[in-house]
Amino acid sequence: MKSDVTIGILVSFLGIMVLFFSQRIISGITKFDVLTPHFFPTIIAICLIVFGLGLSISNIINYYKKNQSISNIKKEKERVDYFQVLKVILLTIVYIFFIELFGFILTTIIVLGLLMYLFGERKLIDIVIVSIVTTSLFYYFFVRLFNIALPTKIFLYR
Amino acid sequence: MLKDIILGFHIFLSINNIIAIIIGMIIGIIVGALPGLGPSIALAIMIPMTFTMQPATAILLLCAVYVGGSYGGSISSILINTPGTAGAAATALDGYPLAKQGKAQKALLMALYASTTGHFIGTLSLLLLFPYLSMLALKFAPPEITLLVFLALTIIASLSGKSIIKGLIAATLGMLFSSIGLDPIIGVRRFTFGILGLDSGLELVPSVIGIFALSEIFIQAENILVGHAQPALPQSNNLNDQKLPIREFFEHRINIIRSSLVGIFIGILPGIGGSTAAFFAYAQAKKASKNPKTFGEGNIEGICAAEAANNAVVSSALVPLFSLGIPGSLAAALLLGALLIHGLIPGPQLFKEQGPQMYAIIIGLFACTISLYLIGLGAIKIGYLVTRIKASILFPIVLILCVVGAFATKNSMFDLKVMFFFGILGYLLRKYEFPLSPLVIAFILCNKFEVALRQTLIISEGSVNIFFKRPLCLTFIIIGVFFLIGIIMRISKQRSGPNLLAKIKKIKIY
Repeated sequence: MKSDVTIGILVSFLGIMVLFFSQRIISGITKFDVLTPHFFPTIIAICLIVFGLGLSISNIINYYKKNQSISNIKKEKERVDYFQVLKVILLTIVYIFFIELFGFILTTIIVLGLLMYLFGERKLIDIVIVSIVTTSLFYYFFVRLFNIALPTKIFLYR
Repeated sequence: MLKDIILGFHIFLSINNIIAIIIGMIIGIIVGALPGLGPSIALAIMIPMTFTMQPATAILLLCAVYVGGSYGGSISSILINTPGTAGAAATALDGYPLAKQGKAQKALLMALYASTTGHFIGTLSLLLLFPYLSMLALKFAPPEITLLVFLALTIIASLSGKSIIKGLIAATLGMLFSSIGLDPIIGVRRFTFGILGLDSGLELVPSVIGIFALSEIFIQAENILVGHAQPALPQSNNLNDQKLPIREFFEHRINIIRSSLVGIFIGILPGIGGSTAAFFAYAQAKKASKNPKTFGEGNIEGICAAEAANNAVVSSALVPLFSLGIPGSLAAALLLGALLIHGLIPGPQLFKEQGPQMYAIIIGLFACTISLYLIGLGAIKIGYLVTRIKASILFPIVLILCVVGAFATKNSMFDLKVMFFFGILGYLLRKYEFPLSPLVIAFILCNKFEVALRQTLIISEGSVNIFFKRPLCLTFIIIGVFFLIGIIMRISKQRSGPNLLAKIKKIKIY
């Protein structure tokens, strides 16, 4: 797979970055090398570089081997809606950001409704009922029953 | 030991524990039956909710979720051919064809009986093996711990995915994330980049919620179908197809016992989990069957084997967890996190210091068998309703639960950002077919590994010869070599032709 070759290179690059930053960790005065805090990250970095290169090289070898033996194998492409994923990711960011400003209740009611719409729910009445009831139940169960704190407001109530 | 068991029974006999088991079982079965969710996600989200509970009650609740979740996957496997858990994928091979023949009820009953028996035998193995393994583990010094964790990580990385090298990369990434924060020996900051929230390292619960639950929501967002509905299953008029007499169940006793033993063996091995056990037991059942050709077309023996093995893993995966501190499955790794949060530090000392608490948990696991049977019977009747919960309601609610769970760990907004980061990482890793369990288990075990390795090398003044001078270390090395040979054989087998696993590609596994 072409993408695996790229991922292997990226993993190796991450390994190089880890190696670079691990050498910058303050060592302090130690008797043995193994006592230094960068001992273990250095091992991790080397593993990342080696495994990353291993992934790339093994895929390049496989690619050429397959090209020689079997050609023209068309893979079934899955229908994936990346735009939809991006919308859900953005809404998660918005939720995390606004929950701090407006508290749990208000933000959750709005975000839950929007998420339901994104996940294919088209009945407005269902969206409104589910988002309000679920948020209230969550608030009751977590705060009142389990004594678990939920993000509180800066601007508005809870 | 007997005194501890009696004290454990005394601790267990509390109304809170019994309610915890019932609630945990109901949640577990529902979550297990929901396509896209499974016991790991349920456990990750449930852990923060147990913070205010007594340790035994909290662990029993989580154990019940784990047991119920492992069984619940079979309901959606049989009814809609979409296994709620990876462990139930083997059940779908014969379960769905049986449902299409109008024998859904029979298949569901067999799955329940086999699961209950498998879980009982698995728990028995936990009761018998855990004290002895703990006594053996008392002899472990840093060199033995180093090799044991290393062996465990290698096994997990090599067996949990399609590609060994991807498993190894995932495990190394887990180790990298674990090394963020203060150095465990000297206390110097590593990879914190001046971010205060990273000083104490990445918190386990938000990371796990992100990597499993949040990434699953992103995956589900890829294929949203508005107004999608499952076709209705036919109903057989023959009453025999709706029942499973005890006599018929006993006909499969050898298959169930054999599959349970397979489950116990695989469960004890670190990090492999239910799906491997189920497929292995399925293959063994097919080999031993009089009608191997009907496997995959609706042979009830297939369900028997898969479910017994899948559920035997649940308790047996706790054997290495309780005695050595090494989880036998991914869900057990999350239980490890929960045990630590509740002040029960897994390992040989656990048995010595918290014997009654641990026996209370084991007795609770036996009680889970009864609870699984009774609640499972009810779940069969309403199972189809659970599998039809709309994705448009389910996944948005799960996302809110993720945020609540991640925040509840330390009441910190920073943990929400950690969860989000791991959500994106988990999504990308899934997209490129990296297994997630090596990452999580390495993340949990790495600290122990680093401390043990560095202590060993300090004792030996930097020489690795210490590993070859101790008999237990040598045993681990020999096991490691045998395992390496096994991996090489696995690679050559993979290249030689299609196997049973190829068949499951036809089923949509979550």
